[in-house]
Amino acid sequence: MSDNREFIDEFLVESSENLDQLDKDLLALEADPADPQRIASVFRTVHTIKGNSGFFGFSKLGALAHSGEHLLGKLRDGKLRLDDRVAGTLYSMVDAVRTILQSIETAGNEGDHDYRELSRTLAAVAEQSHAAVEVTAAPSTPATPVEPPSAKPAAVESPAFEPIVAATPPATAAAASPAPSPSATVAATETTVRVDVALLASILDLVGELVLARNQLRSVDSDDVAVQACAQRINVVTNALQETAVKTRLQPVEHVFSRFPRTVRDLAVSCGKEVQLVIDGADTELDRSLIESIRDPLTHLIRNAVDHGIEPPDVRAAAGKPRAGRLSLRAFNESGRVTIEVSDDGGGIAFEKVREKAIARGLVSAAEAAALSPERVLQFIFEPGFSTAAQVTSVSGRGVGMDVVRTNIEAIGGTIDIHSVPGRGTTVRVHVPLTLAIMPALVVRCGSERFAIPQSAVGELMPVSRDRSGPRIEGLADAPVMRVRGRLVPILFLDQFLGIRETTACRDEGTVVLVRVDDHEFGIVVDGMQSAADQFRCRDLLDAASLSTIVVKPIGGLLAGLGLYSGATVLGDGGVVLILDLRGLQRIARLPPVAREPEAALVPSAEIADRYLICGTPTGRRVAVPLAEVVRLEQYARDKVQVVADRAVVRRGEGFTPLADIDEVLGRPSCPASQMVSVVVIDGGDGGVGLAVGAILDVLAAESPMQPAAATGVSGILSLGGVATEVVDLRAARRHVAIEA
Amino acid sequence: MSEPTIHRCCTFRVGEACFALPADGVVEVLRGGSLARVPRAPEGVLGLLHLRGRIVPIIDPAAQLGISHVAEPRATHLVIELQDDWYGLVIDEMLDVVEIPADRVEQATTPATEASSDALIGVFAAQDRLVHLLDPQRMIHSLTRLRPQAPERQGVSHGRP
Repeated sequence: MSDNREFIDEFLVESSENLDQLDKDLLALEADPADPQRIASVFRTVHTIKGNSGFFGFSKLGALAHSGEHLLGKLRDGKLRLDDRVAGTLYSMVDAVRTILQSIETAGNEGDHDYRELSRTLAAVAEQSHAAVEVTAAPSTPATPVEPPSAKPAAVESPAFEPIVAATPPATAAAASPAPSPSATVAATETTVRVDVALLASILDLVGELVLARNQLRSVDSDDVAVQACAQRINVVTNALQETAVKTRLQPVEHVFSRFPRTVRDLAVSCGKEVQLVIDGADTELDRSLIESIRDPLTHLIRNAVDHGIEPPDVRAAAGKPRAGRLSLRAFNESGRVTIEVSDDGGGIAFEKVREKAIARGLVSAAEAAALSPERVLQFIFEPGFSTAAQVTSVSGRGVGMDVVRTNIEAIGGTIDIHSVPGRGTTVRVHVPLTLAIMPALVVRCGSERFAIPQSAVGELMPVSRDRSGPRIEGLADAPVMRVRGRLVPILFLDQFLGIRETTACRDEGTVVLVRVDDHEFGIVVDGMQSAADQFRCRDLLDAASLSTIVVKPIGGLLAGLGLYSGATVLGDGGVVLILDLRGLQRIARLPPVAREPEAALVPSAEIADRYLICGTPTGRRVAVPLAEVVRLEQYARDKVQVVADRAVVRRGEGFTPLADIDEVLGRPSCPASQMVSVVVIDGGDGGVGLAVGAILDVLAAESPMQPAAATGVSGILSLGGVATEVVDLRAARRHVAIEA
Repeated sequence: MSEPTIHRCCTFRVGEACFALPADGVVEVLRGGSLARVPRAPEGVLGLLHLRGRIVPIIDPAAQLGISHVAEPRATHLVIELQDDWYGLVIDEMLDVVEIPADRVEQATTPATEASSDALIGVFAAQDRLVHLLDPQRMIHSLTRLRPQAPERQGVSHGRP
């Protein structure tokens, strides 16, 4: 058999596609049991499987397919009508065939399971046909709803399922819509070929090369009209070629969606619910590597919707809704990304239950919970192990779920949001990038280098403001943070961190790129943005004006091992630019996490009021400055300190910051020791007042109420970190500067 | 080193020494252009080059081979393929492709290249010079061991606006 391996692989791939088609055909047949083309298609598929299994000597598979073919033959000849029992039996056969194929693929044999019982059932169902012949005397009449025999189990009794596929183009409609023309199906298979993915990738690489060569050609000065015309022509063709090559990576989400009608049908039956699935936009395209990544999250969302969202028929009827719940699966392009929406018209999410559960799990206190908005409450659903399902069912409700869904979606650079109206239903939207190979990114400048930051992670951009009107970076010794609408977000200075330059002087310009990965949020300080007007590659592919669309290229194990870069890209000017690995940066820089707590667990300003910056004086004393009064921390080389009109100042932008020596404030002679001056800037005057200290040591919370003290320049004594520490009287410091003037 | 009788090797010069790499692993030889710097890269990685759709790390082998010579960024790049990845070596001059009989390769003992660790797998005495045989894989691997001096958590962040 090993000699046949190549043929068997081909057989497996082909059969797997055929089975998917079979599922669709059977679903369509349930809706329209008399469609002769569908029956013919199903018959052909099963016949092919039977033939191939005979060729390879898979006897179990052959026997099963034979029984199925026999049953389908009766259907085709109009001797049997497709009712729930027949359909159920055929589904069982499809599942069994799939199991055998999987076993062949993984183990190389058909497995130990015995399928003779199923074969007998298939035969029995086929034989019951004789009794039905009279009933179906006129098979060509239009289909009327099949009345299920009254003796059936309740769950199967209702015509639980009816697939409706809206607005799909012919190629995909052929697979799913109720009345396709067989010629369309045939045509679809004839116009496609199998191509090795590696080959496609190399084509894309070569096109990238061509684009660069094109760019160079454009920059060549030539007065020759013929050369110019030729260059123009090459330009146009290259653009078109690039766009086409990129499209070869894309596949319609149909590949994922096609399994869902069957999934929903089975779920509806097992939950005793009636569900109508509406699929829209199955032709929306997505990178083939992402198609597989969204399958599991979407399946999970669909399970949730059927199991928890849509109510049992009686409950729905009592609430004045149609007995059959409506589950809508919609895909569409939106601002360069693909949005997939799973929405149901079920009972919605019970906010109160979520709130109670969040309190019970200690995620939030009762008082805080009461103040949270419904949108915020819904976010708890994404917490690990969070489930509001009253009981665990075989389908869902085991508490693993939405957090995994979110993790999986975010792993491919996507986002997820959820909306719910009690009594009206729930909508979950998943936004994913078109592709991972090409993505919108922000190109930032840092020193003489440029870096790309994936746009999916970028929250907002903020200028580092010169004055104190905008958001500012507060230095807590070596843990700088920025206050963003109440959150304290850790800050990473990219130039320092990457060693691009030594930051010693005061820096007035820059931009903070606020990024979010997993549960971490942090700001990256860069010099600025690459100007948006630069000629980026495949700029026209996506509608992302201020961002550039980059082609991600691997950088190899040697550099990937650093954990700082996730890849590289080539910009339109030919420059190679590294893509920052934000997870890696966060990890390597050991940035403290900032949990996603928009309202609840902020550091209240009251807490800041209790905290003190601990400094050492040049003479070795330990003093404290109330953190609430600290504007920023700076460090200067001693020769930057100028004396202007008898005042020690440091230049800051166009202005000056007056400096007060800590020892002098405390009534001691000043003792300039080191070459560097550490400055704690406090409020006062236009440029603030600088307190020149020896060293910045720590930030600590007060452990005792302040004790009065009589010493000069000291407002009191506090226990900080178990050590009695003098608190600098900042009024004295301000006075000190003013007196000197 | 024993089973193939003859190695086909590309020879090249770095500083004063002559080295050889298996010829079938050589992708391309090109004049060096400007490189994109990689902050915090391992020592010896000079930067990145874009070559035919691939991003190629450019490596200065001098440090690993114990040659005190610092290659100019614009020297010749010898691009080799290693497990689907491409690496560019900065060399001073490309020499001939030579065929080296395995039995004439001797154990490397040259003191000048003692620091070169295990990348050096043998020495072959050509007509007019000594050729050092390199194992490209060991050479690249030894780079990953040469970790950069990682700055600890970003230094005290003074001097901000």
